[in-house]
Amino acid sequence: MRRELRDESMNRREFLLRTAKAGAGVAATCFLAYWLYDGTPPGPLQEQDELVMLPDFSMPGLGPKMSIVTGGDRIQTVNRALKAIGGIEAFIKPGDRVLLKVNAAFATPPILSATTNPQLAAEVAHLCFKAGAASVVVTDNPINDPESCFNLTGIAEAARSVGARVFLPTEDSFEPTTVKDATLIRGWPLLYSPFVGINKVIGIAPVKDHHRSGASMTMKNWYGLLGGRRNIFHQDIHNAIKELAMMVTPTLVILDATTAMMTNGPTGGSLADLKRTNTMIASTDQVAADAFGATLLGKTVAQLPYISKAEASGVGTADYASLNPIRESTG
Amino acid sequence: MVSQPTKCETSIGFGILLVLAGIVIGVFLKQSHYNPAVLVRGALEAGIRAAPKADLSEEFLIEVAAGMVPMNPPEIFGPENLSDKINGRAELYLSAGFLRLLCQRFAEANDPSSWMEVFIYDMGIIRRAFAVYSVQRRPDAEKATFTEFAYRTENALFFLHGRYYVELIAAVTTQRMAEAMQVFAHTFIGKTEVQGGDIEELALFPREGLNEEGITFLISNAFGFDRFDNVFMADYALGNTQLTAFLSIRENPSEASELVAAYHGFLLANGGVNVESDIGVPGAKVVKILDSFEVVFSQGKFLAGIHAAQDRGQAEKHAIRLMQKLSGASG
Amino acid sequence: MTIVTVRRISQALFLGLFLWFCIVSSLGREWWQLRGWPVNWLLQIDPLIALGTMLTTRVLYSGLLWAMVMVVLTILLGRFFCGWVCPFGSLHHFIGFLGRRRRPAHDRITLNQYHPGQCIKYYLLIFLLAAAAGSSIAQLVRVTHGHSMIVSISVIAVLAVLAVIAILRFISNPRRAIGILLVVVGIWMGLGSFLPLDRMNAASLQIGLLDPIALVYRSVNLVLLPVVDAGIHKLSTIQRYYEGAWLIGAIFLAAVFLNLRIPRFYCRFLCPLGALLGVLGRFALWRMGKTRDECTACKLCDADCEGACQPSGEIRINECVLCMNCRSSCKEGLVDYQTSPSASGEITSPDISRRGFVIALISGISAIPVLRLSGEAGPNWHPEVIRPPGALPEEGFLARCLRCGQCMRICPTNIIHPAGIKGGLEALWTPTLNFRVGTSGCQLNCIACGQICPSAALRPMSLDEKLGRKDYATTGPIRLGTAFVDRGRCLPWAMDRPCIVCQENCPTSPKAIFTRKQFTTVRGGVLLVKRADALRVEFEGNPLEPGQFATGDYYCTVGIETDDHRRRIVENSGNTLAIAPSWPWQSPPPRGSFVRIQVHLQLPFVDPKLCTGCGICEHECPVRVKRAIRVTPENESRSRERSLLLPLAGQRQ
Repeated sequence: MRRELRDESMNRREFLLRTAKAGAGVAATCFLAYWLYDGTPPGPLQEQDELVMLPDFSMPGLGPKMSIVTGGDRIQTVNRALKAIGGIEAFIKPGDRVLLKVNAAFATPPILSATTNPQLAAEVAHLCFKAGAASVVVTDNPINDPESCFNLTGIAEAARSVGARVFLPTEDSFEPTTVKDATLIRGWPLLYSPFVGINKVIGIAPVKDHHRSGASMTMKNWYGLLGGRRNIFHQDIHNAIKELAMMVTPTLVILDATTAMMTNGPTGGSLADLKRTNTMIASTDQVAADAFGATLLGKTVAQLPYISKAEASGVGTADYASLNPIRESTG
Repeated sequence: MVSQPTKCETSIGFGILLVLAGIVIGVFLKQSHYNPAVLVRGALEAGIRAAPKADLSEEFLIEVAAGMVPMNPPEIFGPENLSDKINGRAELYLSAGFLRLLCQRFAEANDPSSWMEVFIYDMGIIRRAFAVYSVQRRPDAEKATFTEFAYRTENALFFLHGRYYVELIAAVTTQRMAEAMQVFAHTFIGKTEVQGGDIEELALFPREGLNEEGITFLISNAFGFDRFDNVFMADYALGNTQLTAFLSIRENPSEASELVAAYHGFLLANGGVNVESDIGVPGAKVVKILDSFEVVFSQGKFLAGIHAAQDRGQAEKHAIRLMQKLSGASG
Repeated sequence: MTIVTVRRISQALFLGLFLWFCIVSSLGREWWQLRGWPVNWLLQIDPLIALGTMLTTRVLYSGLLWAMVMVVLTILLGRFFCGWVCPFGSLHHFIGFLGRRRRPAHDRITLNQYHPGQCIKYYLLIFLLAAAAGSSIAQLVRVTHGHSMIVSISVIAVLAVLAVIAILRFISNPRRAIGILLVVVGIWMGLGSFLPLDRMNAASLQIGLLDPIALVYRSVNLVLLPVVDAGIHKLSTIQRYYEGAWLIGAIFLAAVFLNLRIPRFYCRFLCPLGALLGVLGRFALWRMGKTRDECTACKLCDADCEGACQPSGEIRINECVLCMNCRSSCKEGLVDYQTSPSASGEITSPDISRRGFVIALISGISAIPVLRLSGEAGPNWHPEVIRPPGALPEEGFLARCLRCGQCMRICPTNIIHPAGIKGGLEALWTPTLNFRVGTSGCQLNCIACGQICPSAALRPMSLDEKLGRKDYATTGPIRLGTAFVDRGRCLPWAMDRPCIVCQENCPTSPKAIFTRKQFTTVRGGVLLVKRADALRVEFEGNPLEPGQFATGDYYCTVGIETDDHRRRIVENSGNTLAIAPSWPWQSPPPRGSFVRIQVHLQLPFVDPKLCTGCGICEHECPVRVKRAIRVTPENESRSRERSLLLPLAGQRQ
């Protein structure tokens, strides 16, 4: 009798405990259902990560400046060119974090001039440090394998020798971006990681003929910031270059026409493709720089439609003369 | 074995059976709310049945007449390139359901400068052929008697043969050429089999004062009103007044009467003034617009009326005549 | 009315309902066609499907809310789904019943003894859920990114506690299990703070492979119905084919016939849904059990036990499918569905070891990233895998596809087929298009597959969206791929044979396939003229086959080949040719001159801007075996990697 009573009370307690647990389970289920329920079907495109956009890196209030310096020694000409537009101190302030966008597209030796000259890149980095920059990072998304490109072009060693950091892109370095008012660069992977924390951007590009677009200079240099299957943009290359110029508003651009690649660009391959035009251009207006660079290649602005398109989009002006470029010579 | 189910068990059992029955009923109720895929499917099948296929073989259509020599191979044009041949006029044919044009030029064997061009338009069904025939009828034409719908001008012959609308247009106005065109027409009509078919609206107009050659079929947008499709117009000379009667066979009487109200509203919205008039035709509307009178009424599934009449009395009288004729007809 | 009778009625009802749903799944308005029948309902009440999709997508999609109702009922009542509702279970029940009908009670009792292999289904459940959970775990880990240490640690702690509770429900030896799990969780979270684990954590929904409802839908839709219908042709006008159906059929028959060995083999040993319900039913308010401990130990209650839960001894609650047979078998009336636990004791936890648990967990989590190494979901995309219209981008698609075969069943042209392993093992039995089979390509005006998919792996679209009309005019139509002309096989390109079947059948307006005219001199088509008049030419010898050039595609030309000179051939005999009377020769070819016989070819080209990849051209191509025009998934709307062209302004990329 007593055992039955004890069994009964134990059973009742056990039952109540179980009911409580079951109730908790039911409550959890209802909560889960309420929280996660979504009656609408998923949309057509993948959930887009938040799009990133590059900020405007230009110096406010400075006005457009351009300098054209002739001479055979890159170090001398670039120093003079920068001094002519106000000196590097006008652009780089103490504590700035600078990104140098070089052309390291191919794993070719520097003498072929298919890539940015390493000594030039190192000198610009050195000047930035002299102006008080806290850090300088050198980057590009090459067409070939990044490590071999930066090594064989000599850029990696040169950069590191002055204390700049080389950023080699990996799969994770890209975020999708959309350029305002653009039709092609929409939700496209951009090499974004090196830009985090950066407040000054300098583009350093050689002057090259280009088989598809006619020329590759400062505006086309930004192509190296795109990821994904970017060769699809070759189908509409001039609009693509225009949108690249809309995408990046640099602090200034340096166009190296010391040895311009006159034919067989962009890879070149023979020293015979090069011509000693011995010119260095520094400019805050990338369209003007390209317009002048075109003359060194023996082409007109009309032959390079992307220049007029960029001008029409308000990126800059093709009439470089209107910028009153300071012309000097280092002899 | 529990021999007899307990009352508790039975009632629970019935409770469960009730739930199951509820599920079955729920399923039945759900099946009447068609899945969107099913709804779309129905629409698809209806569309497919509508379009008549073009007759592709051309061999029998053109037989070289004796004494005539072809100047070029027969050309075929479809809806996508009809405008290559007849330019702006293509719009008229395309809106009437044009299928195919076969044309060829012939010259007299001994006089190449005396030539003509044959245009055979396949419009699919006789009504559509009649539409393009009647709308383009030249006012100064002479009626031709070799077939029901035909007329000739100085240098051309136009006629209807079932679904085909044929134009024979000559570069010269000689008797010889006219005879050649006649022969061609005869041969064509004799050789080409077409489906029989009448245009029933033609017989519905009262005969008194009717210009038999003046009946026109407007496939769409009659009188500028976008809901007026399949409208037949007939010109009358009554006494010293001219007026135009129109009629259209609708799907059912309610559509006809609704269209009367719609056209009435259209006229009023475009500056018309309603005229109170008891002309003995039930539901008739009379409107004065731009110095002329419009009468519109419905009789069974016929929509009819008078268009742009100068004399209101004559218009109303004729409307009555029209109504009487229509009420005699099946409708 | 015994409860067992009610249970049988319920089983028959749901099985009948299931079969009815399978039969009516064809597009149409008749009462025996789709109409509005809720054919997905049995998939929607399946809690494993709901849980799986919640793990992979973190969303409970639409109709799957029914599954939550089922979960609540299971928590309260126990694993009744298996015994009363599941059509697959009812099938096993019936076959098992047939198999042991004539056997004496002693044999039946032995067959229904608990077998330690019954723990396998729990491992399968853990494996499948772990494979689905990868991305959700990554999301959780990502919570710690960009937040302060305090937040990260508290999140880790909460997760650890939840994991511990979960373990406690599973494993008999809790302490060591807790320890190991804490270590595992700790390492995982720690790693997640430094490494981009969200990229390593791929997840996809593989539960459809073994989930009983998905399996039975797939087997009936893709194997049973086509085989039965092959004879009677009632459900479909033509024989329906499904690639790789042999494997689905084999698995189905194996599962069914194994019941003759051990009753309800699949339910006891393999069914992950049963495992899940068994775990959920742990705290059920009512359970089977003995009302009194002392009984005659006749074990008759075990003789017809469906779940092999051993009601005669310590009843295993998580194996009990509430068939109620034990209750009606007991001569003493000692077994009942009651609120108090069985008087002989009960076991509520599944019999799995922590070692097995961890192995299943780790294998599950790593399975998908390992499978993805072959790249078939990305750069190594197989050219024959074309997804149906409305498919989500591949990662989202694999996170939702149940492999239930509903889309394959409903497709009116029978072009959706289960993928084999060519899309990777991960995509086994997911829908892919085969345009060679069936009645046509993807019909332009059909949206059936998206409308029927129960988990929106193929999302429901409107016809306007599919065709790119009205609101969707700027984004354009949905493209499945692009057709490519194989010039080495195409009749006009490679074999001088006129054919424009593909162009004629191209349904887009304007047509995506266009043609360019070409005249080619046929083989042996240069002939010496013996005699000619305005309409006929006669040749030396007997060079021709009578009627060979009478099809209307052949022309003959003398001297210069221009349109003005070519005459159409209307008939020919062995040595004569007759041209069309509508355009005779002005000056017939003189004796001794050469006449060239040319074939008028229209060479097909595809315009990638207009091609939607519907596959109708591939289906109609007269080169039957390896078609001369084939669709591959280039430029499909849902994928940026496979796009072929730069998009126009505003267009979907």
